[in-house]
Amino acid sequence: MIIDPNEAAASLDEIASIEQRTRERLFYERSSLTLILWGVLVAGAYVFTYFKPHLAYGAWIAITIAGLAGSRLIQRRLGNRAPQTGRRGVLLFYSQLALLFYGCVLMVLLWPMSSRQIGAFWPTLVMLGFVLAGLFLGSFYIYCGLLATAMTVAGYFWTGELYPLWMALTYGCVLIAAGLWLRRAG
Amino acid sequence: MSGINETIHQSMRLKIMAALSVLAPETQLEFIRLKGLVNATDGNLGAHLETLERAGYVAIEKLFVGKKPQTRIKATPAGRRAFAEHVAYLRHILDGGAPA
Repeated sequence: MIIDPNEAAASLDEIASIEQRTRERLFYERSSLTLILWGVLVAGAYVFTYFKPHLAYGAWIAITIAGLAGSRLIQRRLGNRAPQTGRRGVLLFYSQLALLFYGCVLMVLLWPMSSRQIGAFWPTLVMLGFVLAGLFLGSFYIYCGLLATAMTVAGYFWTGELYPLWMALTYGCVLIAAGLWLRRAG
Repeated sequence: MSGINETIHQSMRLKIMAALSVLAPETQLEFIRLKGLVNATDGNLGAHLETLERAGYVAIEKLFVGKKPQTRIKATPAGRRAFAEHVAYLRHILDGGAPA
């Protein structure tokens, strides 16, 4: 069999394309599990704070620690399936930590904040992270970020006492739906 | 520089080896995921995997997850080596080296 340079180039292009697609799918798989995890935790936390508002601060701290630990666990368990996507996942984890850090700094600067404001602040900040990530990872993250932000703002102004339940349903569900969509795509 | 590897060079088998070679050593990929990655039908993928398995380039494991049968595939060290050599050969041709 003779291979000319054109055929060799076409084969190399095909290889590069499949390698890229494989890395993306593995990355999507991890991202989807992380999104579902955060969606379930956040939805649970909003429902909890609706019924036990006096325990809200402790609940949110516990949920945040659980979410970060879970994200790290997912990264460690699935990240080593493909070394190069694993590095991308580690960067994503550290970007979550950076977002958390800046969120805390902003809260200190803006304090005092009502629980309703805090309940809108964090989802909006996280969704800003989604929109920015979307610039690198694909438009899917941008749409998710914008949708969840719009729902957060709408809920903040128009849902009255039902605000935590609204957020559990919308914000939590957007994260879970995004995770399921990515899982399907992956 | 090795010559052309006709087992790997076939378009579908090239895609299969490319996908499996991205994974870390000893990491398996489910049949259904591989099928989606290389855009193959069940029968087509199965036939090409059989060829690669006969050549010693992939290892196929069939198991049950719960009650569902699942097929998992991984590239063997020999398969990874052969694929890397084939890619090097393609690059060699592209760089003006003599084709086989």
